[in-house]
Amino acid sequence: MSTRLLQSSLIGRLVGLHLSWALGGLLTCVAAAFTLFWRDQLTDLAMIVTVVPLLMVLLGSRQLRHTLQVTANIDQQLQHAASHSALSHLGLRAVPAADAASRGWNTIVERLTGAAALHRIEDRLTDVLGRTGERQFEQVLDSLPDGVAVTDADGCVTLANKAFRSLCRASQEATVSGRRPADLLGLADLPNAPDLQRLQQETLRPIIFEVQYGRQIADGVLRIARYPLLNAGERGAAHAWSVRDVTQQKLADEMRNQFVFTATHELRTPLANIKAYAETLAQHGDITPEQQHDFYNTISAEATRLSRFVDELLNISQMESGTLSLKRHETDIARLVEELTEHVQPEIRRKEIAFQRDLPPKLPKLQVDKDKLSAALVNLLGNAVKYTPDRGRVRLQIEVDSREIHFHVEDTGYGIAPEELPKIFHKFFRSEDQRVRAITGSGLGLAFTQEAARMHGGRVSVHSELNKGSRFTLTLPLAV
Amino acid sequence: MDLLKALVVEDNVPMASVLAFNLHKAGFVVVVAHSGTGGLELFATEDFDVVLTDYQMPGCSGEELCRTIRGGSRHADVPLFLITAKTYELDTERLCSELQLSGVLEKPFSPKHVVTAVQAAVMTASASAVEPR
Repeated sequence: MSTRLLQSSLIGRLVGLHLSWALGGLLTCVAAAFTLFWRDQLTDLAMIVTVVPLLMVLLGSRQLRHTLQVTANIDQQLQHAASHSALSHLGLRAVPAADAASRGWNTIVERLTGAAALHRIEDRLTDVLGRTGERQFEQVLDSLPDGVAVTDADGCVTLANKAFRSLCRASQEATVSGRRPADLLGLADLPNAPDLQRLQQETLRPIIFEVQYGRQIADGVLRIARYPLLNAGERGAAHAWSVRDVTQQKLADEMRNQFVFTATHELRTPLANIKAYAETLAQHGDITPEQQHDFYNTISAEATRLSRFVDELLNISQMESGTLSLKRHETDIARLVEELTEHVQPEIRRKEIAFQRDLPPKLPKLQVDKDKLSAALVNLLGNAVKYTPDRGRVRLQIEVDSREIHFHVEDTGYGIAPEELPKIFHKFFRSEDQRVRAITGSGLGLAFTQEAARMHGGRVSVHSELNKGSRFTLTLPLAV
Repeated sequence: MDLLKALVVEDNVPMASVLAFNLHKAGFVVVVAHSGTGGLELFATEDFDVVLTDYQMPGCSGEELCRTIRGGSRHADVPLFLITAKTYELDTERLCSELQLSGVLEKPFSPKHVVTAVQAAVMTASASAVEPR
């Protein structure tokens, strides 16, 4: 509409301009004819009346053609401009500056072209910045440890980060887009997966669930959350998915629970003995003095066992919180060895184990935390006795060289499977071996032993063969 | 009347001794085994009026021992007691009904209570044995 108005006013102005020129020329011509007629110069009059209008028509038509060409040019440009809304795509050009109209047009074009250039720069900047933002967004998504994906109203993936692609079990990375997360994550085959219909029906509510692949936690556990996106379309809601691998967390929880059960058992056993013996002493007046003496000794031994277990718990708790510290004192290793041998003797006798000590003639005195080193060695020796069948062999060997002291504990026990060897020093780890499972253990002894050795500047190493036996070596530096 | 005979299967030596002492004081002849397999060997050769077994033992567990006795041909109906410190982990109700246990003794327990429960179970078993069918 505005273009049409502009056109009609421009053409009106042009026609008006030419008409005024023509009227001026005609008036001049009539005035000249009257003057010549008055002076009776008829020949001149005839010539002027013929030639001047002819010249005027010739000049006028030329001028009009030129003006019309410019007008047509402007008209064409205006029509082109009318069909494009974007300023940068108007494609306006200057016209030959013949008159005020074309000069005015040229001024307009000059200004508009400047603005279009600015717009083009602006567009380009937006484009570049937009792409940078997109890249940053992708980088942020890919840096997240959790799988993140977006699905459209049909439930197909439109966007997925690196973690999500790596969590997809049923698919290669390239084919994630356009597929359903339930298929990609292999949920259909899982017995404990949520009702897949629920995922399809309750599209407007957040759904959070966990799935376990296989019978054991170690086979993998995922925590999957699906949230509806707010701008739900007519065909249904798009969703954001968050998928987290919680296998390690679940394993730690399981091990912690296992530890609580084990600790309860370890506390209850001596407690049960103390209670049973104390009540027996109280109930029966006819117990012989020898029997009484035995009973009191048992109560005392069980109380010691309980107290030692409480110490172990404290060590473990300090190890967990990172506050385990050493109290170094000069310690006679020969005496320490005597004490820890005494500690395992009752079990050695009960299981009729052949126990051999292989010590150098003279053992050094070391600046160590006696309680912690003793607990670490008792763990090694206790394990050797515990996990060796009746009438097996256990050997404690000590070697001293110029820099270090090595405590070797060797047994002919159940041994450790090669796949379990790297895990035995992990906190709460317990072997899958049924023979080991039948024996109470906290799964913390070896973790503590390794930590105690490390704090003394030493180390623990192990060689083991399943069904043949194990050899643990605790090495400490002689100098602090 | 013959003395009643009890089998105590417990790998914890002090616990086995104190149980044996109290049952002996209550008039039982007590035989002790320190492993499940040892217990089964004794059960196969001797007649017992009651069996008390620990739950967790290396080799053959208390549960396995009870199953073997219940599934066997010899004194399969003997009163059985399961001793355990694993109160929270075990489904004691299921074990009681599956293995027809006379009771689950949870550590720590009072020896007097154990003796009373054992005596009651033996009485019930002997009463049902003489009832006409």
